[in-house]
Amino acid sequence: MGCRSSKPRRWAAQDVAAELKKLGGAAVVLATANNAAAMAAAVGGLGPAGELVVVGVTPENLPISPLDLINSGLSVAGHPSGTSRDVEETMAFALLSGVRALVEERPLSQAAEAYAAMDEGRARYRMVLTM
Amino acid sequence: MHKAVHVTAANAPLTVVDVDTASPPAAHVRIAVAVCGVCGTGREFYAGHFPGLRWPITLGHEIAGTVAQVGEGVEDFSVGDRVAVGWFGGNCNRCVRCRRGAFMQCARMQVPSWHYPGGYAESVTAPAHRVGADPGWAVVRRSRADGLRRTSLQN
Repeated sequence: MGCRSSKPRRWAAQDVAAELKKLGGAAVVLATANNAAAMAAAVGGLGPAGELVVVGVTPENLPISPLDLINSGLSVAGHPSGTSRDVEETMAFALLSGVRALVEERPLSQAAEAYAAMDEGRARYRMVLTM
Repeated sequence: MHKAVHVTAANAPLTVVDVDTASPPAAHVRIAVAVCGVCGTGREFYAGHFPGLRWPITLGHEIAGTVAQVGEGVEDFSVGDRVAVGWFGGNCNRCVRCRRGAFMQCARMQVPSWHYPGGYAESVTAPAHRVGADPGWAVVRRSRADGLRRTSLQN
């Protein structure tokens, strides 16, 4: 794709919106966590015409008001993941860009423990079962 | 026979069981699973929140492995091919949404773990046209000094 971002950052328990605004405001926030409050907290960090793309699954209400959206012309879109071709292109992108997943592996026999680690927020950052 | 993780009812414990290994039907491939991601959406299945669940269920919709068996009529895959299947695990190609190209909105869309057993298992059988090919790449695991492991795709 030819674009290179600045060095990736990791944040924990900080004001996400403020940090994104310091960087100039995000064009897109890809919300992967299964937590509506966390998703909504990022909206304040979107730049003009920014978009919140919701990928994380939760039945909670998303606490965003019309006032949050109107002035900056923001949008919120749900994305139910992509096709098999999207999977192939994503893997190609990972290969070309050097993006890699940070995972913790567990054998299939430890599926219950791996599931619990995910459920309790202990995974760093994706549990992966191996066969 | 192969090992799979079953949940027998909503919120029941995850248990490893032996299940029959059936040959794939026409237009499907049977995949020897190498790895499967543990996604938070699994919570919604586990709690029985998705409609039409048929218990026991096998979770897992982030699947990578190799083709173990090819069903009748499948021309694009051979035994040994490295493949992946994600959330999008099947569509009909004939409803209005598919014919419009909105495959993710298929009226008969299938998801591994929801409409057929998923990837917390040594074997998964999926519709061939919704399996992604991974030609020439290998999943390589490398460890880092801080104990985190990365999955890595390499030629």
